[in-house]
Amino acid sequence: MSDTPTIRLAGRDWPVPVLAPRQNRIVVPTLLELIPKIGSARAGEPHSLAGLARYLDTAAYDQLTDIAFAALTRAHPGLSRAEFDDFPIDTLELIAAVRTIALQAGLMRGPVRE
Amino acid sequence: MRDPTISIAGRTWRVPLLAPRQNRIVLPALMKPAADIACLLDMVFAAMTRACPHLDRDEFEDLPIPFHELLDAIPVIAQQTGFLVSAKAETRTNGPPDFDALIAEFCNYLPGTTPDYWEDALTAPRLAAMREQWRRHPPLAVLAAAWLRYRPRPRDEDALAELLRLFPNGQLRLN
Repeated sequence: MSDTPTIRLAGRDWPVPVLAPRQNRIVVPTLLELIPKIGSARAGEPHSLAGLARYLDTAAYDQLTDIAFAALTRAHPGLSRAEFDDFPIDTLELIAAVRTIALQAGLMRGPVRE
Repeated sequence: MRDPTISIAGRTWRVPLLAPRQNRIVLPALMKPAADIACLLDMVFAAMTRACPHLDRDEFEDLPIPFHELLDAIPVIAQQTGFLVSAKAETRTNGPPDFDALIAEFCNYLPGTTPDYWEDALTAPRLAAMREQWRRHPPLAVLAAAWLRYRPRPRDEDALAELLRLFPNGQLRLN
């Protein structure tokens, strides 16, 4: 079984290997902007979708999709953005994916796995 | 002496003292007040090409490199520029050296060498050693210029310098 961590998007598990510069040049700066917003959202109303919606505006949502798409292209370089934008992706799935993506980007010193 | 190393994509990479070919990229990136990831990647890639000149940028872009590896590499790369050690405060304040001018100087004083050669050979310690040597034993061209009281013709745009060259004492000599 592969050791590569996965994220769940559109009901599928997607492997996210350690990211490369091609992805990190998008993922790292975006995450550095996004993580404080997610932190505020979680601190404000941890279990409320309405609270999330207040903090995660359209720009933040776009940032979430940008990093998720970039992360997916590490293992699936042929995935197109148009195809990704039509996936039925739950917002909570996107938020849940952030931790794995941050780890695989190397923003946190965790047990990074191929 | 063994070169220091950085760990990138889980591999150990030697970083010898950098030459102008790398320092032209690395020094400005290090001196930026707020370097972004693009700068960081350019800097690390340039440093890696010192020992691995055939490393391909496209190949590098696909290496599994956690961001913290890039950050950890910075002190080693900064040290290997040779221009950012504590004694070189001048570099910190005045920006990177003018490598084109330095290389022109070396080619002028060391006939037979080429700019391309120095692009890969002019490390900071070598520059300091040559400068010291030339201070103690000036190149023949410098001595000859001093003997002949040679003053370089100013550039066209520098009218004031041209006047000073023509009238070094500030006096107009009338016949």
